[in-house]
Amino acid sequence: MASVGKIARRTFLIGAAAVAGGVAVGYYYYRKPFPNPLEAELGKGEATFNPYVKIGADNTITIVAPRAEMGQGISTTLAVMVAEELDVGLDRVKVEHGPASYAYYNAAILEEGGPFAFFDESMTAQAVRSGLGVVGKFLALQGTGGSASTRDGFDKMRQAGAAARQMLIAAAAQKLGVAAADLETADGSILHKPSGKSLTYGAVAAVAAAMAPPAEVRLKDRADWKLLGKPQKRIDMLAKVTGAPIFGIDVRLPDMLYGTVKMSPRFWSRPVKADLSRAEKMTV
Amino acid sequence: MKKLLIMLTPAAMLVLAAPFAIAQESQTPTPVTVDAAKGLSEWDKIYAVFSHPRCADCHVADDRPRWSGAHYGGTRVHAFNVQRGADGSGFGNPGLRCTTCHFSSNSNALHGPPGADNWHLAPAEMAWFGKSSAEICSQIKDPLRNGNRSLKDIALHVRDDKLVAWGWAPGSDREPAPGSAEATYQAIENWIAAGASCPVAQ
Amino acid sequence: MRLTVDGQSFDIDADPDMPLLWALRDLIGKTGPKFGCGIAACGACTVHVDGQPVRSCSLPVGQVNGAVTTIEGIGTAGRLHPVQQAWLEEQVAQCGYCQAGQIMSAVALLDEVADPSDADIDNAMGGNLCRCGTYPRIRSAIKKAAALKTAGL
Repeated sequence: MASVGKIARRTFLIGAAAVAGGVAVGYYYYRKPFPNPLEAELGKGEATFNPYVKIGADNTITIVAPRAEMGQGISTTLAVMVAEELDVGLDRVKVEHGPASYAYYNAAILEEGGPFAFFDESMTAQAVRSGLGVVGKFLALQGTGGSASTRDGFDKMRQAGAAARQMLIAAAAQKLGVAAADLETADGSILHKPSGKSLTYGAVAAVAAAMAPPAEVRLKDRADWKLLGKPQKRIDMLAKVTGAPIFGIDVRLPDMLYGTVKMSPRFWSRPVKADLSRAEKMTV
Repeated sequence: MKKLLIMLTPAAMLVLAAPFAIAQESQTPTPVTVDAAKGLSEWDKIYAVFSHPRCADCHVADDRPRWSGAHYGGTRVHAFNVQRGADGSGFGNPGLRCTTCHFSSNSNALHGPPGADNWHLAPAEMAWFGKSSAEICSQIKDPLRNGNRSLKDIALHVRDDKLVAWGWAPGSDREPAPGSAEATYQAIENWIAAGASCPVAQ
Repeated sequence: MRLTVDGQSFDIDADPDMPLLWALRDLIGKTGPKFGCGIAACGACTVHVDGQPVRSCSLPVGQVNGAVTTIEGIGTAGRLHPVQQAWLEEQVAQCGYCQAGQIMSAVALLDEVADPSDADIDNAMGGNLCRCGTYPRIRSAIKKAAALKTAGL
């Protein structure tokens, strides 16, 4: 679990959250969005719309799926949520894990921390759930677990895709001098059917990303889903059948040091003594 | 163990084995003075080696090598669905040969795979695992079940074969077979000299 | 010491007792084969030496007499081996950590048995463990791969 919080701040925020709902500073922190961590690491020609979407001038579309992929397929699931609303096929997007950031907090991971079954929709259960969700944001835990990632991402990720799409349409409308309502999107492009003109997302990404996010994000009707609710091929399968270096053990960094655990060959036995003098004399 | 003995000891096998044992003795060119007591005491040393898990675990009548050792809590079949091989070769199956994991030397890692050249199962007819002293003795003397070897050939095989030698140097914390290759070779020679008597089947 | 890996020759400076897997991953940079148990008990490190599967975590590099083939040498993203293609189509992997070894064992099986039965597959793959439990998909992917291979794809 990647928590980027500091103990002191956490303690303060838990304290603030614990004072039932009415503390102004707590409310302020809860509503204030976290900064977009992708701003700090954009490539040349890349623009970011929110912590989940980056689009390059060359129309490379990158979706950030900020949960640990351990075979459960979450990187594919989260990417589909964004791609659905962004109107691109899964084969058109690059999916990255993204940096460790408060922005990727998992609210749902704590929501089910209360003593209620997930299907319990009583008022008490719901109240505890939303309370713990608030705590989740205060703690800003970027965690993966408890079957929470899909529930946590379901609205967030779709909204991220939809907001980016609305901003891209607005920028295209400006550039083509047409009404936004006359524009359609498909597979990474914006079409103006009456004139036959079209623009790639990449062509308007820089302008679109500088616009204010839409005040109202419109999500697709379930009936209009092209990807969600349908079986998808895993985005990580090709890497996994070709032996690509995608695991922790495959990471090589400059001047990386290696450590290993000296384990007892027998269960339950504890070390009696350890001579660390040679290890302590090592220079790094 | 007793149960296994009973299971793996079909009476028919004993009946079949007896005539061959006689045939072998009648072929011996220079008649030896049969000293049954001396022979049987030498045979006991040989049996102690052949029936030891380091030898018997790969001399099985079925298709599965065995694992024995204190930390297994007794003897069990080899894990990983390892088998003799569909072709009966004793070298395992395509995709999972004995030599997929067992190389020319013992692994240095704790619980790593032991190794010696040519790691494989003995042919099924040379079964020792779960067999009685009398059964193993009659098998050893039966050319149809000992790879068509003379008793002298068997003594040399025990002394010189590298995979056999592994039984006395199994590495790690495995218990070696008793004695040594040389001592077992000597015991076989002595047993032959004393008339190569076999214990009576019980 | 010279080592031929995936058709390329490498000069490495290694203790002959070094496991082949270390030489592959740390000296040559072939990270496709994985370290799992280190005692030939899981199969994640499986590579071929002269076409035969071996657990590279336990094979001393000094005992390697022949050409080594890893998961990186049987096919590439643009030109997949029929077994990799079948793995992709059957969506076999979950976490994927064991799959390089699974695929190498399957390739070795199909090199000797063109149309394996369920029993052939079980006998060949018993030494490759999958903690995610992808075994049913591995079995169907091997059958698909056999068909792809026979069809010359």
